[in-house]
Amino acid sequence: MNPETLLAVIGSLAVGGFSAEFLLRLKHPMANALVFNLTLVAGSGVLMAMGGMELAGRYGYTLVIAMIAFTLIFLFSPLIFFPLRRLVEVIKFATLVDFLTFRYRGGAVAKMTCVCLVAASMPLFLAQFFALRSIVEFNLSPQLQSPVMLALVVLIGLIVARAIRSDTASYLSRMMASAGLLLVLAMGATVWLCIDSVFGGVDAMNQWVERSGQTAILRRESPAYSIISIFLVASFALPLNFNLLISNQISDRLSSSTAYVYPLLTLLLCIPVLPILWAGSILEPTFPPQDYLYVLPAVLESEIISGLGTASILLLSLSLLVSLSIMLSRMILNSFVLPDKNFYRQSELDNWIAQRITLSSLLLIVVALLLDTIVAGLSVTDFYLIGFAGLAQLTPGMLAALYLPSVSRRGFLIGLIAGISLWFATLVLPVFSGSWSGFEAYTGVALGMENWHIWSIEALLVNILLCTLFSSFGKMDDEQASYARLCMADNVYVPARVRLDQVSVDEVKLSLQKSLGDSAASEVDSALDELGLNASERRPAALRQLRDQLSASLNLRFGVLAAHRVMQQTLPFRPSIEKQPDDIYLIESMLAIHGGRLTGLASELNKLRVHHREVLDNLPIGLIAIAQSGEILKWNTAIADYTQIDKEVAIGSAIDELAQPWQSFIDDFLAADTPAQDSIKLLVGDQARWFNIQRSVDKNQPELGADRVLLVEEQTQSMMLMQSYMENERLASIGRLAAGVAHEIGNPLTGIACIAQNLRYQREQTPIGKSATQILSQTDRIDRIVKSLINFSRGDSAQCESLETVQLRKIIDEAIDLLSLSYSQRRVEFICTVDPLLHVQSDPQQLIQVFLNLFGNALDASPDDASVTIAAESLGDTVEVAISDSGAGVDENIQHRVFEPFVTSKEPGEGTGLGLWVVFNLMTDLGGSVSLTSPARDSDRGSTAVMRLPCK
Amino acid sequence: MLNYRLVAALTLLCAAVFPMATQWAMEPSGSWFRPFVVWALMVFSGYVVQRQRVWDES
Repeated sequence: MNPETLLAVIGSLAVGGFSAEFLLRLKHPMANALVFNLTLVAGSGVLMAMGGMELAGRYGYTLVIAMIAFTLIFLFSPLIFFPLRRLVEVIKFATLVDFLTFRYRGGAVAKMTCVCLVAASMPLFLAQFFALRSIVEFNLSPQLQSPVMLALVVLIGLIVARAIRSDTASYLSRMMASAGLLLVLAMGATVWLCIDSVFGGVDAMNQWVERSGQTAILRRESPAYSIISIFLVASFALPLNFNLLISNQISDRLSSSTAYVYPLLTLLLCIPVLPILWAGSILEPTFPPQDYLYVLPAVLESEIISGLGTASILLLSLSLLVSLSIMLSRMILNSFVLPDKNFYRQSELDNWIAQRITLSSLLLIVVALLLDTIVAGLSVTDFYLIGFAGLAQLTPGMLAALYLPSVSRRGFLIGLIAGISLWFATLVLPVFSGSWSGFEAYTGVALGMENWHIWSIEALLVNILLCTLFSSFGKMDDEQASYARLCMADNVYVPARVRLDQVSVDEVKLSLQKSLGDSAASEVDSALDELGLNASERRPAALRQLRDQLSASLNLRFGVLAAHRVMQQTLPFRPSIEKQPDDIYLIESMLAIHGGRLTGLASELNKLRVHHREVLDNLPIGLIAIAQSGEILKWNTAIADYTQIDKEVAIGSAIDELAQPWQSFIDDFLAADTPAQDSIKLLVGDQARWFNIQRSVDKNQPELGADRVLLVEEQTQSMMLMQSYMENERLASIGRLAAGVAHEIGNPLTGIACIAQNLRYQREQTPIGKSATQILSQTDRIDRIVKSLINFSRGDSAQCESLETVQLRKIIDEAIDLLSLSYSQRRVEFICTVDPLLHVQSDPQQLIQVFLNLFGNALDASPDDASVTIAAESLGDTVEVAISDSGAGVDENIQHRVFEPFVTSKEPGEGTGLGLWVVFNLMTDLGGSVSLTSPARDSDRGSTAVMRLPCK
Repeated sequence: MLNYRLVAALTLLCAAVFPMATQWAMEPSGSWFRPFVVWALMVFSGYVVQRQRVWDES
């Protein structure tokens, strides 16, 4: 090899590597898109670098249309790849074989698809070896060629091992992006060199094209239909395209850039093909057109550009061999080895898998190398055409998976086997054994590449025809039908609302350990991280999500078959004879996430759904929807307020998981089988609360009754008002009774007083006279009390219509006397310093009631042997009365609310919370005001009630 | 969920635009690079369609 060329090759490889790394480090969306699309370009790089010239030479403009068709699949990726990506977001597939296995189910599908894909990819391996051999033969002397080829094979093995040990996808992506970049540079530099050196400029070239009739040559008849169809179909099934576009490491935005960046790069690579081909036809080198990229610059004595071309083809071939062998090995492992592997007994499972992938990759490369030594007489283009015709056999099954749910496993397998067999017999076997003359004599059509355009299309048509026939006349089982619906392009994956045997994350870990051993715990932990759930989760819906996440993660690690086996063995769904409804909880969350993608009627329906959900959420009464399994599907804002249980926590939980007393409340009601229950008393904390509960059942559609809807309404305020009303009624009855009793007591009391008075006059100085005086004193007291009771009972029904001048001290004393009747056991002293001359404008009975309430509160709050002080002072137009106690005082948090109804600082059951509310209303009626301060005036404890009463 | 506008565009492309574009590109009197012009227009249309998409991640 020329030293300049060698330097140029090494320099180009270094520049390519650094440039790709630089672009990645930019972290700019356009740079990322460029790197990603260069990786895709590299996937078919050798076809463009070498096959392009040969295709153009053979078929003229058909090359351009074929390459447009090849990129068309990306232009319409929203129809093909985006539905797949949506499915992959939930299910996760590592390979194309996994996708087809998931759709069509069963080990036979996995094995058959894998064999077909490996067989169809083998010509692509051979194309890469052919490219490597071509550059080695051009650049090196014959004695160096074999050792260098051997060294390159060893290098491929080392790269495979290195890629598998590191982050494989990232490693290969960098390598392929560098190769793609070098290819773009090489094509650009070569075409520039050719136009400048051979033609002397673009105008001169155009004139030469006109003169030489090249346009007519380009438009010659060719098997355009076959080439375009096979290129279009095969690009979908190319393992590299599929893996890159469905990769979960690639964002949707990046993936969508393939719609224009990839076709643009391919266009830029195709434009130079014709000028380079024309330059070759003038220079007439001894090498075929497929070698022009590095041969023409060498002929034109530009060793640097020749080195650049050589480096690009070298790196393209190496990177595709490595990535293709790793991808196919993964498929082989997932289809043939892992489905029957006992993971529990295997220590360091990931290492074991990595070793098997490495060995399998090396085996594939060795097989390809052996085939390369056998096969002769084919060009890079031939290898690609044979490979594409084989890969095209997988595309009908893939498209049917997305758009034709009626295609069955049997139809898919029979179509695929027939198509791939015809492909093998008509295009592959003749490569080794030559065309069978007998067949040609009988049919008039030769086998092999000579009639590629016939056999490639016929194999595809036979595949499609048999697939359609056997799917139309066969019947799919329920499992197949369900997975067929799931894979539909316009379907949203919603798992059924089935139950697991496990009820907690720990149980899930324990079960998974039976299959995965020690790695189960880390697998579950990473799934929890991914979902944002915690390890204490017990909600059935959350556990189902966890199972789905684990299944998806195992799909990626072990493939669909092995993951399905592990999940069935360790986390099976509880068998049920009833049809399982969809998981409403997941439908809701998915619609919330993907609602923006909906269009047309679906979008309108989604708006309606959101509206109805908001209506239910904002209902002023509590609403709970419960599945037949006892799982909560709906928990609106009102019920969340009642129970203080967030809807995020409640939805997806089982009723059994709710805190008490709510669990018993709902369970008891569901068990009672009555349509409604009123005023159920619940003790929430220390507080008694009452609720009405009723169920909603659609009598016209009893099957909907499987999901029960409960309406819960709080009745606590109504119940307390009712209890207060009943207490007041009882007290009023006692009051009326007391008035009657007082009246009846009056007559005998008068008699007793008269007798005692007579007795005192008659025996004034005797002990009997003294006793009579005491009897008179006691009867006076009884008389005062009786009169007070009568006055008070009359005042109960009196309205505050007219105010009169009232002696304040007298009212206070009367209230104290009345209070002493019901608080006789309390040793609390009332100290009243109110001036007897103070008068206020008020209703005496209303005022007594005010004082009774305030004194009663003061007595309740005061400890024994304490005192309650009552002071008053005139403030001009008003008199201020202050009643201070030395009790515990009123909590600062409720001080501003003490005059509201049902607010009390007393222990539950000791106060209704209505006393101060009554005081406030009475004082307002009397034209005065009342306020409460705590601690009491001139004290650090207790409280003072301050009343202001008008005195004029 | 299916992008019906895209299906309509594809149908239109296949039924009307593609034959016209092919005829124009393959005219004997036309320049050799005409097919590439058609291709470039398709790339541009792909860019326009993708620009209008709304992304969940944004």
